[in-house]
Amino acid sequence: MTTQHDPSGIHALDELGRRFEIATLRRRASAPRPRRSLVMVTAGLVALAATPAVAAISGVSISGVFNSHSSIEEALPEAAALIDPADPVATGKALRRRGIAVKWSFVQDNPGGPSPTTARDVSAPPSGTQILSVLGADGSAKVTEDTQVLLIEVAPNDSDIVRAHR
Amino acid sequence: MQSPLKDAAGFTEAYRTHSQSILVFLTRRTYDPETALDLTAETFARAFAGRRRFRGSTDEELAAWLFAIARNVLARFLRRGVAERRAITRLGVEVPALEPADVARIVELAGLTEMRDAVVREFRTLSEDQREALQLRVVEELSYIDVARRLDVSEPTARARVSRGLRTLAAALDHHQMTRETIT
Repeated sequence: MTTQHDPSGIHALDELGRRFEIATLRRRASAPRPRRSLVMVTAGLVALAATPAVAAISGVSISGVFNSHSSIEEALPEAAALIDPADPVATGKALRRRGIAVKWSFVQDNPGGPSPTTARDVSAPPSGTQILSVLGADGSAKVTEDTQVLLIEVAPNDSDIVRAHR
Repeated sequence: MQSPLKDAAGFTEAYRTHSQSILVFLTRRTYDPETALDLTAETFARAFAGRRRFRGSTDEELAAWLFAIARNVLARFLRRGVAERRAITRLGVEVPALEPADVARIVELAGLTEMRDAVVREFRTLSEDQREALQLRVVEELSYIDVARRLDVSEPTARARVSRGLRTLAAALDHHQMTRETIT
């Protein structure tokens, strides 16, 4: 099946749409049926999305968390519920008590630099910081039920990057 | 009412309806059509990957969901300084190159020329110290040490002048974007 695109006047955007169409049709043709566990996880996610701790991750709204592409809420809901964005130290302790190791990355504004922010690994969250994001150990958003190490990005409370995430 | 993403045609329709406005949204925030196209591609690839999580039924809800994803993609770009391609790579879609006519069209749609005019206007309102510092750092791409030498000030002072100047311009651009997006 093909769908006729209305031309946007932007050749690359229309071409991208055509490539998406081919790729999504291909994926759907080979996609397995949703498993029961997926339905259960989704139901759990609805309940989890209502918790303030999860809602505050990355400073986005409850609906934003629910709809965003993060996966810790799906894979590790109990760990996600322990995250207090305003208190990285307490979050780290709570996660360690559950057997999850934490690596820390300290993100700072980099005004006038080649990139808007810089990040460096630190052994513990510096004081006056809050949690920006919770990621897999490799810095990706991929977290599975077997994940034992999380990378938490923190940034100063008064930084532009934190303000941008509010 | 069924989800607009219930089948392949639904996703294609979502792309057809919303891709241009998301491209414009991202162009206004990156000032770079090429980066904006990459981020648009990643946004829709993430939307496809997470389509079962979409609970809405109306086009308005779909637009809100897509823009929420676009904002997340943009936030990661601003934090990392590079456009992520994880979802688009996983989907096996290559982002096409922009032709000069495409760039011109995107610049027109996003009103980048007006935004650049706004930057020029705001630049003129900065103090002479800040203008000089921004000129040396941003236009001539000197290091902060060289900026400090040229201005005969300490490096922290040079950094502070550049930083304050950029913040003033950013605030002006935010206002310009909000005004324009309210109108369009």
